Amino acid sequence: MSRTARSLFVGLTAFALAGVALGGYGVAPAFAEDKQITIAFVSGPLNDSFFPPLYQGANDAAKALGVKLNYIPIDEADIEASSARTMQAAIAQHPDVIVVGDFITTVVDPLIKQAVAAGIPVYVNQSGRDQWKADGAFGFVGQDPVEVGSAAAEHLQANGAKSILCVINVPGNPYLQTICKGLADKAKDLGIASVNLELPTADSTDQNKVARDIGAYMQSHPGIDAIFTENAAVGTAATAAVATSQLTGKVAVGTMEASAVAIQQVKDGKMLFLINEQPYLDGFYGVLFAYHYAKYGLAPVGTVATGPSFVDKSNIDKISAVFEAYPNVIGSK
Amino acid sequence: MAQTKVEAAPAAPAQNAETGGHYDGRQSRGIATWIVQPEAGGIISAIVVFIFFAVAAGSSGFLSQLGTAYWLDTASDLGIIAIPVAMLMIAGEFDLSIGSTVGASSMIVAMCTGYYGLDPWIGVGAAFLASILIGLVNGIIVVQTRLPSFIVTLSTMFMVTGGILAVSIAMTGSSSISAIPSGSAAVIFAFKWNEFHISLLHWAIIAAVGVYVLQRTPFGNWIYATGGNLDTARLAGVPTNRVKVILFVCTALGGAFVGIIETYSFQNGSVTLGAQYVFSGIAACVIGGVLLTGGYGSLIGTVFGAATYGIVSMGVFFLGWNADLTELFVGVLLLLAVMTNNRLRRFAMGR
Repeated sequence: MSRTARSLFVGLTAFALAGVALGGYGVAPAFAEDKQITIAFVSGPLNDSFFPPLYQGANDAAKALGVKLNYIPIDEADIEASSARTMQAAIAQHPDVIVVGDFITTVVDPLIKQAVAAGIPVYVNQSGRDQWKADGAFGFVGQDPVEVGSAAAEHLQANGAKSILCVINVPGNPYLQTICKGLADKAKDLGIASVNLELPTADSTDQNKVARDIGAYMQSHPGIDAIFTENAAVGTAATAAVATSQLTGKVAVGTMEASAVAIQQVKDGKMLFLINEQPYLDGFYGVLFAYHYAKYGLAPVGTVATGPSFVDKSNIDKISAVFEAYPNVIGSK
Repeated sequence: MAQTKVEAAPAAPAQNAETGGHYDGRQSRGIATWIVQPEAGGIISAIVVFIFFAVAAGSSGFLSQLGTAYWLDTASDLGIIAIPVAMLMIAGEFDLSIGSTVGASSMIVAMCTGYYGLDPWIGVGAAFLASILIGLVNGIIVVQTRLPSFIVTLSTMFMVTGGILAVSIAMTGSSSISAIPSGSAAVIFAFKWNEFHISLLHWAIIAAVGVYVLQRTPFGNWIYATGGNLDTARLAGVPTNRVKVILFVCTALGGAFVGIIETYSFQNGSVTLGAQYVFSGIAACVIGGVLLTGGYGSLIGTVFGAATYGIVSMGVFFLGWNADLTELFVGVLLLLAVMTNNRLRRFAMGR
């Protein structure tokens, strides 16, 4: 097959698989006589590069288990209102289980309670680690944002950092802000400085502009010797800004999320580390635990941590190989 | 439309000072006359904000070579989009789908180059083809239905964003893909000289072509006529529908061009890339003196409007203020620029 024909074939196959996954048909349930379990999965939008691996994990689990999965994406541009609407839509469908990313706790918590009161078990996913129990959910899988920020501060300090810039790429997103707060608190404990840079909304989708913003900020704050960013595109924008200012090697960069360029930069030593949040596991375990709970009433006790998992020069090769071989398991290719 | 009339005096309504300005910039009759030029406001805004940041942030690197490259690069990406957008606005129409076209072309390029490993030029060709299609859809729907382009392109914005997301998730499972250009494409779209990006050259060329078309060709007169008074223009034999469709295609091509430049220069394509241009593109035109009602405006002004935006949005980072204030400050400065501009125009028109 020619390269183009193969590409086309791959594309069509992917399209067909996506159709099967979305429709939830075409895969035989584990027990044919059982009623098919339906799961409503409320989480982030696929135009945010964090979520395609989560979506992939959820779909892979649904396919393997013969579950009917309804993924309901929250609109990040209108996150409060959208968090409410999506959760209400999930409740209205009366699925066997709701899996929800509790990003805006003040909005989502009452709706989790409402779902539980209506007899729908809820499993909290990715965000909401401190709330799930009080809301009456049966468990939590994800990571603690405070721990992420704190671990990042420790890594950077161990590398010699004295003044860390923490870049928040979605202004007003409480999850991302908590990470930088965790970093700031840990930095204070360690006796080093830290400062937050919240990117303007208008710039956050333009990596060239983000690189220039970070570069200009470093010009006016020459003491900064380490940068932590909350997604891979901003991380590579930071390494670009560092390179432009001819500070490669003097200013360390660590980021959340993996991308092809970020992985290469860790290999080349331009980036110190990636924090793999393992969103694939968030999605896969979210569906798996929901399935077990709906079917057998079984679930892991308490919280299951999917991060922070550190990737640096010592273990980059394995991650890189998986990244190449399996699209959307580690991150967006 | 009567074909025999196509050649007949198409420029007449445009050069009537009451229906809007097609003033001849070559004639200089003192400062009062100069301020009457539609580009005056944009030029003055750019100079004022430049002086402000040169004084306030000059010592922290705004005036350095790097600082200059930063704001010029920002202005050039925006400027490439703003030139066709200004021409469309002068013809009396809006294109809100421009940001989504940037994202769509970015994703198309990244899918072709990064995911399927095709030659970079195939991605470029596919992105341009898709944008021509978007422009044609916008233009044809607007001229056929006579619905406001604000509404039509608002709809196509959602359709393009949603469509490309669905396609990219279906084909690749992802909404953000790495794309590393090679060969001539890497030079043409991603070349950098000391942080001065090649998009500066593209901006200059596109601005020059735009100015030539608008000031020196019958098509330029048709644009002013279409936006100045549609019915009069049509009676005078201006093919207003064709003018609008062509301009919608041009804005989409401008968006695709920036999408390709940003994707290749940053080696990453994303569905959401460029969403901000729907605002900043129109802001650059308005600062540059283009009227939202059509029939009036200048591309030289638009060039300086883009420069103003570039200076303000980069300059704030050199001030070393609390970064939380950045966005507020950009908004305030842009409002001041537009208000000053508006004052100048009222003064010029004797109102």
